[in-house]
Amino acid sequence: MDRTEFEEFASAGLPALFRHARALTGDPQDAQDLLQDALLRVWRAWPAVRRDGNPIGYAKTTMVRLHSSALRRMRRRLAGRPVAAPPAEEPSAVDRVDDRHHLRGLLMRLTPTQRAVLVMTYLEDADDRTIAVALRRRPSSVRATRSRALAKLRADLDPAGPRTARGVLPHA
Amino acid sequence: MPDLDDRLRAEFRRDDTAGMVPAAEVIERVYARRRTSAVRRGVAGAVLVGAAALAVPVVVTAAGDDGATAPVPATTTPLTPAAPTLTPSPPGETHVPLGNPSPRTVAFPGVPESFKVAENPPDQPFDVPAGDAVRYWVTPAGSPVAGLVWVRQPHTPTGLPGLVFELPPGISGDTQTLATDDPWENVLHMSAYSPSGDQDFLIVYGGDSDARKQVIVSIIKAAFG
Repeated sequence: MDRTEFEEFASAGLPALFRHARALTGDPQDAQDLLQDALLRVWRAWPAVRRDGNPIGYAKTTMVRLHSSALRRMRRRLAGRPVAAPPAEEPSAVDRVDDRHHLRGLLMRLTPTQRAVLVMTYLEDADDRTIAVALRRRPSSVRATRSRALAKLRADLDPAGPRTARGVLPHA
Repeated sequence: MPDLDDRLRAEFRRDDTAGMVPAAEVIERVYARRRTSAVRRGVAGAVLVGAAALAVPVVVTAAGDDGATAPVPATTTPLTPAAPTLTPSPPGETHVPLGNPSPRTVAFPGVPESFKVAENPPDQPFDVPAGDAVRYWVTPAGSPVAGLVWVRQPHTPTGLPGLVFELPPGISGDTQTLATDDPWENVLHMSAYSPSGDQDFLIVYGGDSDARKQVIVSIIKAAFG
C-alpha cells in the first residue's frame, strides 16, 4: 500500500481528527488512543478509503463508531485502561461560575452515544440522517438521543434543578 | 448566559492542542500497532491450524467407531466386486488404522469368476437365513462344487452344522471367521465378522470337502485377506 499518501493524509488531518476525538472522549489521552485506533483501521482499508475520496470523513465515522462500541470499552477495561474519564464530581460554586469547566463535567456524565450525537451535531453540523448512518441507528433514535442529552444538560445547568431533584425544599 | 447550543459549539470547537502527539509519532505508532496486529493474527492462525490438526484425527476416530453401528445404505450394484476397504500402507511405512473401517456398501467380494449368479435359491437340504441381502451363485457343469449362497447381515443367528475345520492362519486379516463342513450333506458353512460391523454368512455346497474348503479359502483370501 502507498504509505506516502496515507502519511500525508494523517499529517494534514491530524488537528481536525484530534479535535474530533477529544470532543468525543473529553480527555486528551483517551482521544489520542481513539485517534490511533481509527487511523489503524483507515490504514488497513486505505485502498478503499482512497478510492472513496473522503478519508477524513471515514476516519471520523470510525472514531464515532469505535467510541460507542461496547467491544472497545470492554477491551479497554480488560487492558486496565479507563473506559472513560472519571465521572465529574458535583460541581462546586466556583465551577458553576466557570461555565466551560462546568459544562465539560456535565458532558462527561453523558453516555458515549449521547455525546457522539452532540459532537456530530455541534462540531460537524451533521444532519440526523448522517448521524444515524454513522451510529447505525434510525434518525428518530438520533433525535430522541439528542433530546434526552440536551434535557439532561439543561437540567444540570439549571441551579434549581438538582436541588428540586434531591427533594430539598427551599427555605421560606 | 449564552444559549446551550452556542456553549456546546464553543466547547467542541475549542482550539486546544494540549495532549496532541506530533503527526510523525502518531503514524509510527499506527504502523507499530499494525505490525503487532499482524503478528497476533499470525500466531492466532497458527494456533487454529494446530488445533484443527489435532482435532481432525479425533473426529475421524470418533466417526470410525460410530460407523460400526451406522445404517448401511442400499446399493444398486449388488454384484460388483469391491476393492478391499483398507488400502495397504506403502513399504517401510507403519500402518496405523484410524478407527474401524466404514461398512461395505457393495456386495460380497471375492467370488470366483466361474460362479454365475442365479435367480432362485438352490434346491438343497440346508437352511438359508434371512438377511439384508441374499445372493445365489451356481457353477457350470463339471465344477468341483455346485454353488454358493451369500447372506449379508443375517437377521437371526444360524447354526453351523458339521465339523469345524481350521482355516489357514492370517488369511482373513482382521475379520473373524468360523467355518464348518458337513461331509454328510456336502455343505460348508462359514460366518465372518468384520471390525466394521459387517457380518457375512456363506454356504458352499456340492462336491467334496477338499473342494469346498479350497473354494472358501480362496474367497476368504480375496475378500478379507
